[in-house]
Amino acid sequence: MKRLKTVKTFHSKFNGVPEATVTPLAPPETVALVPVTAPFVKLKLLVREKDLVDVGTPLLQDKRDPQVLFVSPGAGTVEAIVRGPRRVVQEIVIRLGQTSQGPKEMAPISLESLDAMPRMKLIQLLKQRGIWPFIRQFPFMDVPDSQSPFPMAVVSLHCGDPFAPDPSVFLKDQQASFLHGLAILGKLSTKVIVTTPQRFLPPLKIMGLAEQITHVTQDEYPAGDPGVILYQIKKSAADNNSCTMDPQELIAMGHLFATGHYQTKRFYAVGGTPERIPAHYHTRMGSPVKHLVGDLKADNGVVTGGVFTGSLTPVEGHMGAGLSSAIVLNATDKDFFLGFAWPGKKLLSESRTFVSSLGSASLNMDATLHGEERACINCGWCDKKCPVDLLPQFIMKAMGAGEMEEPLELGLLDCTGCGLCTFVCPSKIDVAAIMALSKETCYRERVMP
Amino acid sequence: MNPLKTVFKKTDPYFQQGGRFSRFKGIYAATRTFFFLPSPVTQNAPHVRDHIDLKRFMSLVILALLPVTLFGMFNVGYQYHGGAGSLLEMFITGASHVLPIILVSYGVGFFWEILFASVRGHEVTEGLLITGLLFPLTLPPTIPLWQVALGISFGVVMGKEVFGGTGRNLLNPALTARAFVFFSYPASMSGNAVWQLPAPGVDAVSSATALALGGTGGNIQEMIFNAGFSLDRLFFGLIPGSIGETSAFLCFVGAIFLMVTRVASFRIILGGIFGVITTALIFMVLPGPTDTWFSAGPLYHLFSGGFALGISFMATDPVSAPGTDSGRWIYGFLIGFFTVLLRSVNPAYVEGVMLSILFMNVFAPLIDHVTLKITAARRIPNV
Repeated sequence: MKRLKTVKTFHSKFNGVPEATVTPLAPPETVALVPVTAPFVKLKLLVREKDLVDVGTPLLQDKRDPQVLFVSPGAGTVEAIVRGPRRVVQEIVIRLGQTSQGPKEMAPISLESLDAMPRMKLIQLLKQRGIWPFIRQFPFMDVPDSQSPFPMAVVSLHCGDPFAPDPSVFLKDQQASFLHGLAILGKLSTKVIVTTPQRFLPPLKIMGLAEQITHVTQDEYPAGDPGVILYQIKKSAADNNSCTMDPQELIAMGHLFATGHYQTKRFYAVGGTPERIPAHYHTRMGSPVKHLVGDLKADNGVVTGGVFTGSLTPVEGHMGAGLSSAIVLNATDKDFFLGFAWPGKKLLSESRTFVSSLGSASLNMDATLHGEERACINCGWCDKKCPVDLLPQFIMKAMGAGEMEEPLELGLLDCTGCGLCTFVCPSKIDVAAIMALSKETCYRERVMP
Repeated sequence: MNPLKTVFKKTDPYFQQGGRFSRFKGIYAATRTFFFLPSPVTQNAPHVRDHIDLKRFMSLVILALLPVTLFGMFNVGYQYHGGAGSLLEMFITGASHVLPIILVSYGVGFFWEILFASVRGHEVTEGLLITGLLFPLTLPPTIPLWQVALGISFGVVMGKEVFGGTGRNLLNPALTARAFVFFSYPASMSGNAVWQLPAPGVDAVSSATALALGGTGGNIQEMIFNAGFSLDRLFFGLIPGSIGETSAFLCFVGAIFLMVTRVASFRIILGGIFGVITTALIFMVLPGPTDTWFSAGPLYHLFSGGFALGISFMATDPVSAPGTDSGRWIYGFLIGFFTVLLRSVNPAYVEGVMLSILFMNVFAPLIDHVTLKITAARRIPNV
């Protein structure tokens, strides 16, 4: 077990961090497949409204590789197909209930037969069973290319985001599935890296997982982000094509292979200022947001996914595939009377320009901008927070000038999208979005046919 | 509800698109956001954002400049009364001469800023709050107001707006303004007669600044001391000079505040101080003239002239400084180096800070280019 060297992290503390307790919730009426997090897939719909589906029925297909399927998280009737801008499928809502033939299950594959299985056959199985899209390949975080083995598979049990689910919660009694999942990743890649922040190490050791954990990271965000870990441990350019997987999805994959049944439940961390206690809730994957957070006050909104990477989701919406936290934040337009002059005892800031920076109290946060967008003044606060040592302001300016080689040379593709550059920018420039757009431009220029 | 907010709510429609005063939208929005800092809901991830914004960023610089400004006012009065008046009397005399300069600088500066903002259709930005205050602090108290107006116009228009406005200027606008006045009207900016307000009935008071001494044989350090510029007087600043430059002490207090809040880069400030100390020390041990500033030693160089003001508030302007950490050290160090070099070996300019900062401003992009190449070469390539 190695301790990774320190990286630049986020230091302020938020109020409303979820407790480590777990409350099981009654099953929701609907669940949905929300393929939001796959950036470049071109989806093709395989079902229509009112169709009967089972757990594991393919609902969507990636046009780039028709073998890559997205499968149903529940059994019942397809109630609605919600489309976003440009008619991109956002949600396939399934009303839980009667099924057609019973769940699509598979014969269990033991660790021994897994060992004997050829790599391509395993990949085919993963694609068929809708697991492949949950494995993501650096640097574009795309659905992986199956041609060559991955140099590394990075499994981070906790990215450091204070609102992410506690690994000692979702790993409890799931050790066997977890190990099975790791074995599958081990078949696909040369090396499997499992990391945990320091503070979760003691409970994980008690669970008997000490042997599997290869690296220990800092506790703060984003030290546990898979991209940051890869940046720290990669030895050569070949390692850039490593892959990663969310730990809960890894457990579900292991569960499916070990037992033949789909794991349809997930642990969700609910934080911020919800009407119920900020804690962990155990319920169906793809549950409605409202089912998780309960009733909302009029001014509040829900950010699903990480507090720095997630997006505001309407309460009627469903949790995205692979996302496991919901944060309730105040989300109404505000203004602050003489806002620039207050000492700011209770205002959260990573800078040292508020009195609050003298203490270390947890503070409230809201989903507003706290200022107006201005031109970049080259203050360099973004690079003071970048965990992978990029100089975001220079990459941004080079992209603005239509340059592509220079951003790449400066390490654009190492960007993990942690969002801290945008968070700290005093000019309120969405640097992270510009970095993401640059990566997308790069992808379109060279990867896409 | 805040009564002011009600006023803004009522007047809002007049300034919106199609309203009667829509052409004044820029100045209206600037006023409104001065009182009510807007905080709209964020549209993209990350939805949570830091509370710091550019208004607060800039107002911290103003806060650090306030003691310097107030002391400058006091010192102008102190020099006028020869230290004989009451404290209040001296302050009022000073303020009555300095405030008009500041007001003209702000007034004319904002005129251009608003004009450009309206024509270009962007917001009035906060940078001018600093430029408009820094510029007067670099001027002698006897400066004619029309020259202040011309100077700030040149600084704002040619130093900033022609490059595209805030964030795109190559040179520090306040120093550009000063350089314009310095080279266009040297009689108001140099010599021995401009640093002190003339007493009633007298044309001008001759009072050399410490930097003008030297070149007459003897030892420079003794000469400075004998002229009444002991180190502590230079440090605390009750001496004639530009309005804001005399008190190195208050400038460094401001610098410490800016470094602690990280609004200014400590690398530039410490690099500059380090540059002055090393260069002055090297010059001191080199065989050279002992009767000029060449041999004055590091402390006299640090505390005299405008170095403290320049390195704390002008060199740290992030827009015109390099953006990499190593680049900032180099930039600061070279400012210190050139300051001492100009003061020591160039008899045409008694003060070297303005020129060395402007000179390094020009070189900042080159420093960035080189340091970026080195940083990029150290990464494991990911292309």
